[in-house]
Amino acid sequence: MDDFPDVLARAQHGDEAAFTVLFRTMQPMLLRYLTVLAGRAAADDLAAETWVGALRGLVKFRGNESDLRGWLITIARARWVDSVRAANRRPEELTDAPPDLEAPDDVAAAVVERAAADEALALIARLPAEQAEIVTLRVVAQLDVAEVAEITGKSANHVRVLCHRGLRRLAQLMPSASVMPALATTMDET
Amino acid sequence: MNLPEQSRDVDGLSAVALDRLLADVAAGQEPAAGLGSLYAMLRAASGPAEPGAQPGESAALAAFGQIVPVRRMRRTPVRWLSESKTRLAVATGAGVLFLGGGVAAAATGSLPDPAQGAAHAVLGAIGLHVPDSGGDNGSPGNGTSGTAPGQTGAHPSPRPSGSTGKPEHPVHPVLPVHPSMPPQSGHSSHPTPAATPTHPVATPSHRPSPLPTLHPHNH
Repeated sequence: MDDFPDVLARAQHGDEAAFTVLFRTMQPMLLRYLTVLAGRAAADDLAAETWVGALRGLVKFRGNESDLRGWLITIARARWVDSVRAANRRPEELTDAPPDLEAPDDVAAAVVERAAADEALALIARLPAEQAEIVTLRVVAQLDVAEVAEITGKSANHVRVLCHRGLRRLAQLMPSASVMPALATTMDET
Repeated sequence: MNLPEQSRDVDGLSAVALDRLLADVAAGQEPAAGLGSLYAMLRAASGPAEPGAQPGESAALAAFGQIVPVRRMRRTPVRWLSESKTRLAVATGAGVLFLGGGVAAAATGSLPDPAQGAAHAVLGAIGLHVPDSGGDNGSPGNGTSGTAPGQTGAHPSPRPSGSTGKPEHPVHPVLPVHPSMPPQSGHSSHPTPAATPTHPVATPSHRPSPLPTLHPHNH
């Protein structure tokens, strides 16, 4: 977003149109991250709670667009952790087997056919919880290693290792080369 | 600490190759050979959403209206000049000053010869009498009626030299107050949005200031 500082400033002064621009820029990333963490059904509610929390601090926020992404992710992660604790369940239990995602083979096929974000996220969600979150933060939220390390409370080295492991695992989950042309064609169109 | 994943290939994908793949995904560049499938999947995961309203938008806007108060923005110099009405007013004012000053200068014969001659011709065509470049006198408004040209000291108009017959500039011209100069007070009466430049442009920082309470969960 070229005019991010201006849009942010107007949103901080109550300009609804400017906030709409920010929301439409950030919400897809936020929903995808929360979908990988908690499943699609819970992502909408967690995203709504995230925005309420963000709006309370919006006036005082200072930073660039990447900072805003990291800030929203930090809030979203806190809401997710709170929701898991409230349910007396461990986060791994949610992310290891997302209840509303398709079986991996079906997901892989769907990615090839439609190359849609939802299916790709479902594939990422098949990773172990830590790897899934970090791959999502690196790829979907476009945060660098240092930002991911700060958000997740891990060392930068640990983040790199988990990300590489996750990507290698994803490479194994990807469909065979025989269907590559269809996938490449779909991606070219996007 | 030696980390095998960072120093050697595992499953055919080195850490360097994976880092390059992440950079390619972010930049939308073609991936290295053999990584096309993974690249395509990651691009799909990070691709743009459908344009227009996003899920949860109406609820977020309602919360925005309740939580974020509408406040008047202070205009910075950049913002002030970027507003179209302001630009128009500034341009109009500058034009009036320029043209008005030019006409006044022409009326007092203060322009250089070529410009004075041109002003005489142009303004004369619309009924305004201004001195010609040769030191026309008796024109209203030059303040030198009844005085021989060149004796008022009000304008260094060229006069024919007795010996050469060529125009010369006076040796010690007395510079007039140029009528095209805007009054100094004009600046002080200008709107001064820059008096308190509090541009709300975000100050880049590694971390934003209002961090919420985070409970990192180590898996």
